[in-house]
Amino acid sequence: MPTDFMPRRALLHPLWLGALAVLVLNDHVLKGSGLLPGVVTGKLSDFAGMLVAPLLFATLLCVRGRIAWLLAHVAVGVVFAAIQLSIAFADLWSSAMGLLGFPWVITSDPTDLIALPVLAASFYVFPLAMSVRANVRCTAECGAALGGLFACVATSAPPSDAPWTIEADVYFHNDNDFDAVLRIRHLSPAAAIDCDVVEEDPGRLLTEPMFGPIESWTVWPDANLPLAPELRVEAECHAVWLEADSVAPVIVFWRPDQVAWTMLDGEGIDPEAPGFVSLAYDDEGRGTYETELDILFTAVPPSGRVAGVCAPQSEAERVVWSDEIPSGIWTLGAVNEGVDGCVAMDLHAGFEPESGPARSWTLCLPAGAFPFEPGQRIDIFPEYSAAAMPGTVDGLSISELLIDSNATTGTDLVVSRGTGVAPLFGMSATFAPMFECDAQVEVECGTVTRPGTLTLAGGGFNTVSVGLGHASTTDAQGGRLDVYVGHAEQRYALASECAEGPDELGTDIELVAVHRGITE
Amino acid sequence: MIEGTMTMNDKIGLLAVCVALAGCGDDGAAAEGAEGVGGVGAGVGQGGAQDFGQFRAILDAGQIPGPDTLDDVGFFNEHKIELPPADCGQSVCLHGQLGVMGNLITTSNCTMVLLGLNTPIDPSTMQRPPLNLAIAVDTSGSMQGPSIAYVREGLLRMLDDLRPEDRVSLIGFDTDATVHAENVAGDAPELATAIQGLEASGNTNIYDGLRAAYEVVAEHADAERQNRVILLSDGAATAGITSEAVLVDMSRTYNELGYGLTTIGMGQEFSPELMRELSEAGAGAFYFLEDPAAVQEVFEEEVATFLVPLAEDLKLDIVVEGDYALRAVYGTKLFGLESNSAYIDMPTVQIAHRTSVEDHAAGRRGGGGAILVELVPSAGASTEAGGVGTLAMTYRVPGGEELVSQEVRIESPRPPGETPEEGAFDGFAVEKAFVMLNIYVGFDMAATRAALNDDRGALAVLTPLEANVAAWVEENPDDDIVDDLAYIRRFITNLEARGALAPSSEQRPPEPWPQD
Repeated sequence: MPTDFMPRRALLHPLWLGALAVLVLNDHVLKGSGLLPGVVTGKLSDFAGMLVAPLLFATLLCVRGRIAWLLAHVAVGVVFAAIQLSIAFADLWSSAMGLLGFPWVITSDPTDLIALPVLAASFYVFPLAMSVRANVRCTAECGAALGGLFACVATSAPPSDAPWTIEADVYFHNDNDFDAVLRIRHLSPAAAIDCDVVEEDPGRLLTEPMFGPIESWTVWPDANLPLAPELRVEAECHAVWLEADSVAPVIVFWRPDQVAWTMLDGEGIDPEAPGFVSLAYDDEGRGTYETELDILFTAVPPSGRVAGVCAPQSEAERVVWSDEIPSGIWTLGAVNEGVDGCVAMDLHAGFEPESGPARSWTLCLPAGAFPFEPGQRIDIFPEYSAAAMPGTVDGLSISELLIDSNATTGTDLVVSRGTGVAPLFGMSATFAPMFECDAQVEVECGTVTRPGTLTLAGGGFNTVSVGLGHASTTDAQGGRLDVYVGHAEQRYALASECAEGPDELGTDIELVAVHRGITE
Repeated sequence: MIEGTMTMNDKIGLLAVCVALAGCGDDGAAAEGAEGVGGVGAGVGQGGAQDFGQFRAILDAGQIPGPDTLDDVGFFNEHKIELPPADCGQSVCLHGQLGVMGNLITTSNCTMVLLGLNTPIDPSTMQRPPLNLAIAVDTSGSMQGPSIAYVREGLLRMLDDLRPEDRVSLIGFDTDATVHAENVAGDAPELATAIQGLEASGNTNIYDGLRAAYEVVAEHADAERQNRVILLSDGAATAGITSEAVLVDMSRTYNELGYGLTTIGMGQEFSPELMRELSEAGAGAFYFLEDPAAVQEVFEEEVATFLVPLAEDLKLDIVVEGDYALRAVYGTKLFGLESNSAYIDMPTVQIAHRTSVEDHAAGRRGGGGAILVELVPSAGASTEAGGVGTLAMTYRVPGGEELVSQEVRIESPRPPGETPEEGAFDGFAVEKAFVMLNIYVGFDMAATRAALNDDRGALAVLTPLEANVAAWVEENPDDDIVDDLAYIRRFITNLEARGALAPSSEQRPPEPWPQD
């Protein structure tokens, strides 16, 4: 078996030679040429390398046997993963390769780990070609090995040896004669912003919760780094949070029409590419940013000092309930309203309070809004039908079931939350932002909001307007409608993985309506 | 230079009357006439995080802590700042000290004002009021194994600190909440039996558990007792009402009704944010249990001293004069900033049990911490010495409506921005607080960089910090800072062990306050 397992014999395998060709072509021709997007050239070498490196490594170590073959793959995989996951290890590896005369240019990018499964293909495919005995192939195998070795160690030479280009609209420039560590945060994938509103004051309106994970880059002296997301995403505007040592955080905010995408040198400020944000340190080590465009804004921490009607509305005032809505007909057992307005209730299935164990359910409403009492029969129903105001709505209704056939009046409760309003006793709803209030930033999640007023009309009721709080109206039959609004805001920036409420921009309305009157 | 005025007479409050007369009437240490050595009055704690136990535990385990495991309030509370004598004649005394020095990372100018609170009351002489205490214990599946064993051990140890006149309830919560013992005496056998019977399974319904505990305390509320809830958990809410805003609001509402909350977290996977916010809203403390030994320390701190409020509705107003700009406040979460002033609102403050820097045999918790205000010279500031600002404090005496006020004016003997090479401090308290703040900021910067795999950047922060703190300790031996220094070194060792490269010779340490 050992004599049949000679890795060098697989060096002429078409797959390996093809991967080698891709590696050389990509690293020395395609990268920076603009022929392929950066995201493609960035990953291409990783996939090709996972085919080239293990066999080459095994050949150089004269590996014999399947266990050693496996270990060669494990070693390549571990080093590759460590480079992608640890900037410190990447630096170490780059330094080590530098000692061999081939300093690597390495960027740690955990998404490159997507290439790791290719190791499996290498592990299973190449052994099939290792038992072919043909001494005349030796010279060719040696040539392939040398080519592979060169391709691997000389990948992406540093800028001093090979000038490179980048594709960018806005880019960072290290205007120093030493490396600068830059920490970049792009807008979170879960963030949505209204560019027209945020553009008025990006430094104040865009706060840390709106930005995603930090990417840390070591930027060489005089080098440039694109600031837009790697994928050239279509967006009305872009925003990036920048941090570097010894300089206060800034936000770079720009619209695509402010500066064009262009190919530019990887080093030096290109006069034809005005979208630079350069960082220079003075003799005392203090950093200063410079730019020619109106795209740079000092990040202002939210003050949290806004009070009164314009203040961001409290997350604690939202309507919430525990677990799933207990749809169906129930008899109310114990009802316990807490000091926070949350009503803990025992629900007995059907019309018999004593039939079977009670189901516990908690519904948090504005204090005093829950109108039902122990012993009442109620029908709990999730709301999905035509809404009083269009939008995405999540809600429920609870209707009192009248046991006495002579009774004509009862109580109904509607809970509505979302960008619209759930069906509301035949009424229509309209929302109007209070433009006299500036857009405000909520501290915890960075949501940018402006309060508004909800107007309810129709359905036989007198028209009523309500902002945050409680209002009531009556209908022609003497019925009374109480409306409790926990949230009535327009949202202009939203990090949906953090903020509660709807997962989209627009109106954010949460209300409870209680109607006491003639039931249908 | 500091001037102090008292604008209202103070009376020791109803609860403070419970302390021994010797502690109230004669703050013997004040007679020493000097701050520092000997400990003059106990510190005053403000609630919120009481330790940096999670950060410490991760370093002790040879790992690298994340920045979210460190909190300035918790870190400061493991430091005993020895203030001038608490001789204001009231149960809480306000002190202000100015410090100017180069920071310990890059040596750039740093101007700080220390706001210190202390009390003439000796915690060792305190007779706490009887308790009406409900303990809500997380018995969800994630607590299986060592966590639930820690809790059982901790609660059983706590029984030693309870008295027959105390009334205690025990609530377990997983998917639902269950009252295992209700309003039983502190020495009741059924309480120990209930503790030993705690088993873990199911989801984590913090809302139901916390609410049940509050409701039990409210049902048995007694003005002659300390009415309080303790919540122990290792994780986030996964069942019932899971909205953290609703949970925190419930805690705030019950606190307004007079029922405080203390939270205790445990486990390396523990996320501290919710427990910290709950304790702040509930005017209580937040602790992290890193090991069973910490259980005793926490319960001693909590039960023996922290349950006694010294002042309620304590408000601090900081107004800075035009030659300086107020940049930041450290050491409390209960503040707000305005143009050149800040306000701090504390629902209650309590006595901290450490009486001196050397008083740490049972651990460093209970130091009382400090509040630091960062200033920067304004553009065009005067070149003359002069006023820096004014600190004003008001609080309500517990159990009554009487308001107490104090005011302290801060002046500087040198122009804004002038930094003597060796620094200039109004007293040792502000100097130690300054070092403590630098260490906290250094830990935070290093943990942030390390979390991004920028271990070299983390070392670039910690290396000069270690050298400067070591030099400071050499001249100013202080047990708290010596222990901090050990953790700086452990952090460096852990970074090196995972392959961090030494900072290059051309790599400057980063500015801790780049916005200044």
